[in-house]
Amino acid sequence: MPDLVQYRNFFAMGTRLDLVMIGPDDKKADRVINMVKNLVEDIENFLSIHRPGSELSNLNSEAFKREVVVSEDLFNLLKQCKYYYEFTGHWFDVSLAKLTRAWMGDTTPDREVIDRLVSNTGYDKVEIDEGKMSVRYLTEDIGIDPGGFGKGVAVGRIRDLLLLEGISNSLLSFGESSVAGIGKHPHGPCWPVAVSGIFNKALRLTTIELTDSFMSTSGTGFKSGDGMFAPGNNIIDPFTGYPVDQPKTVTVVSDDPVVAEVLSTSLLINRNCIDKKTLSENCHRVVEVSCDGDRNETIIEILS
Amino acid sequence: MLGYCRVYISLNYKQDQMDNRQTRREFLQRAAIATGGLFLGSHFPDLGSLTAARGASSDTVRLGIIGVGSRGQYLFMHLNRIPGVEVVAICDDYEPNLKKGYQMSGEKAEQFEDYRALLEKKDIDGVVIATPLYLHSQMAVDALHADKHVLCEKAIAKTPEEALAMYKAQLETGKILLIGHQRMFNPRYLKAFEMIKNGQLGDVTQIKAYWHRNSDWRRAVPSPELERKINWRLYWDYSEGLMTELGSHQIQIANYIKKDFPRRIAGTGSINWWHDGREVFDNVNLVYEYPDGSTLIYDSMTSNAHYGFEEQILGSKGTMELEIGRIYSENPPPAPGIRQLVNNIEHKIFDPLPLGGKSWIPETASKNSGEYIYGEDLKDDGTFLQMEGYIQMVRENRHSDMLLREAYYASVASVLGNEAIKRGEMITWPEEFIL
Repeated sequence: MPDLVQYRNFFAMGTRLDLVMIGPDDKKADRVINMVKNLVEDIENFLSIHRPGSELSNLNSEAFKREVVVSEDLFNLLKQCKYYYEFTGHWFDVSLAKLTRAWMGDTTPDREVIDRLVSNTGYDKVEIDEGKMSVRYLTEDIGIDPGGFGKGVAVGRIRDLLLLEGISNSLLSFGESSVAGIGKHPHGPCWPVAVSGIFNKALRLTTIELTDSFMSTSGTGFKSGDGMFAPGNNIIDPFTGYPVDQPKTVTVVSDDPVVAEVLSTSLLINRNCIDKKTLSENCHRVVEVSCDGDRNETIIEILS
Repeated sequence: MLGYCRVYISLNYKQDQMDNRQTRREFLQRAAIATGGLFLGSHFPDLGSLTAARGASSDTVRLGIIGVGSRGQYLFMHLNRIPGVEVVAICDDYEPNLKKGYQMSGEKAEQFEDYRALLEKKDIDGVVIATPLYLHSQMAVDALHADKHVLCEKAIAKTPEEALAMYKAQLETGKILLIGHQRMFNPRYLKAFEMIKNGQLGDVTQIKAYWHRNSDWRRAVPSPELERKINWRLYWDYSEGLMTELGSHQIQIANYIKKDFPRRIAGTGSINWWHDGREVFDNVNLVYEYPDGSTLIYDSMTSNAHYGFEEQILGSKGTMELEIGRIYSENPPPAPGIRQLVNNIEHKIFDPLPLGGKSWIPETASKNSGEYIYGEDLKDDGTFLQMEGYIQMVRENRHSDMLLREAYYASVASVLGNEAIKRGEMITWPEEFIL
């Protein structure tokens, strides 16, 4: 008898979570997806900057005024962010929420505003006290937005939950940019995922094989409701304060979903932000897709 | 008896409305077929079984209108648009109304001040009753016993006892008794009912409905002694206020969706804004509980119109807002690649999943704007279609017990809502008012 295929999805973290599970019956699949929903809900409750009552939102509004004692979960996450800030030579920086927001308006922000935000932000201006488990922002322009880092944390925890529930073969997609291939496809040795073109969605540039591994894709712009490319100033260079405006994606495959998220973002801004040796020690594969003015799509294997 | 073809053809009367109406008609035919509905060409949802009403069918339908005030005139206007309908008699005890009605008939209708005299006319097939609520029951019962079909404005009656008397009178006489809940004839609602029946909302566990206005609900009174006659909606002797005039429409929708009626009712109400001598509440707030534990949460107010009126149907898989005609899914659309992956696995195909790209975001990340239930922007709230439906029922000589029961339970629920408010306690639906 063939394995059952179960598919569930729901809205989460401003996008959709799609989960394909091999094996469980309907009842178990429903139970598991409810557990996944609860887990993601818990993460959003402390991590989302779009929920005014979240612990992180509270930290963002208070931490410049006073030292804020935070939960162990949030503290550990902030410590991890600090680690990756150093690990990437400051290219991965989650303290740029206000700088990013400045680029979300209808008009280009003034040069002096950008300069001020660049000089007043940076994770080195986030003071973390291990002993008191407290956090303080050293400038009022600091605002923490974990972005894809949060999705990486969520994907890792969902993977642990699925394995605990005995679901050893599954594919998880978070907004199609964070993908976990757990175990393998029922009819093959891995979960094969095609990397598509930026504008030409039918163009399959390469295939990535996931086996108990994670794939994160960072890109400039968004995939809109109809799946097409929509421009956006969503990735900001922390050193210049300006967005990466070339249509481009970087896909990183790693055993660690957080590493995949951190490096896909950092490498999108600066392909050389980390040396090849370190990259190969932390990732299985890195590919960059870019597009010129004539929409010619080019793929570069940064690590293969 | 006329067959449906004859009726269908006779209704295709105005070319300028043809395309639009044909589309709706086609939909309704499909809906009737899909839901096991009965006769083609009807405007009805799943009506259950239609029973043959007593009396002869005729090609031209001759009607009398009892009550030609503002609502009666509105219904008259619609009747004038339906070919093969003659309003041959009108009745009102307020002279300005009678005069207006007479003009609308092209100065042809026979005029009456006493409805009983109108009912004595042998050459009318049916009546339309659009009088104040407290008059509905006696007039409808008398009309049915006078061998007349009846369309009576909602709510069915002022008390449960009166409503029951009307229901029994229909059973005794076998004539048509249809109550003016026009949403049951509105294609957008019918489409929504079909979608809910097909499980698109999952289990409906809560319905929220409200009707908010910011007005005193008064009509101009030419002289003080006419206050209660004209503003009858504001006084308990004649009306049950917001609950029967507005709430009964929405409770009827909730009952129809739940396929049941509420067993327990609790609520509050007061006059908190219009301290102008009125007696009925200017705001009501109620919870109706159905046997499965689901609820209708209802409120109506007259001091704020920002939210207007709406029926929100909340199910495990989605939400509907019926007045604006939108459906919102609890879950996002599946990623196209993922759908393909599932299909491939089921067909033993091992093929790369086309995913790797930038983040998918909904069109608005923070707001699910939903989809239209029914694509067409309807210009009719169902009233015209209901009038057409009534005429068709008269022509085909068929009565819908289902629609009457729906109207009965909606109206009794409205009145019981007021009783719960006045008693200040949760009340249980009385056994004697269960059909």
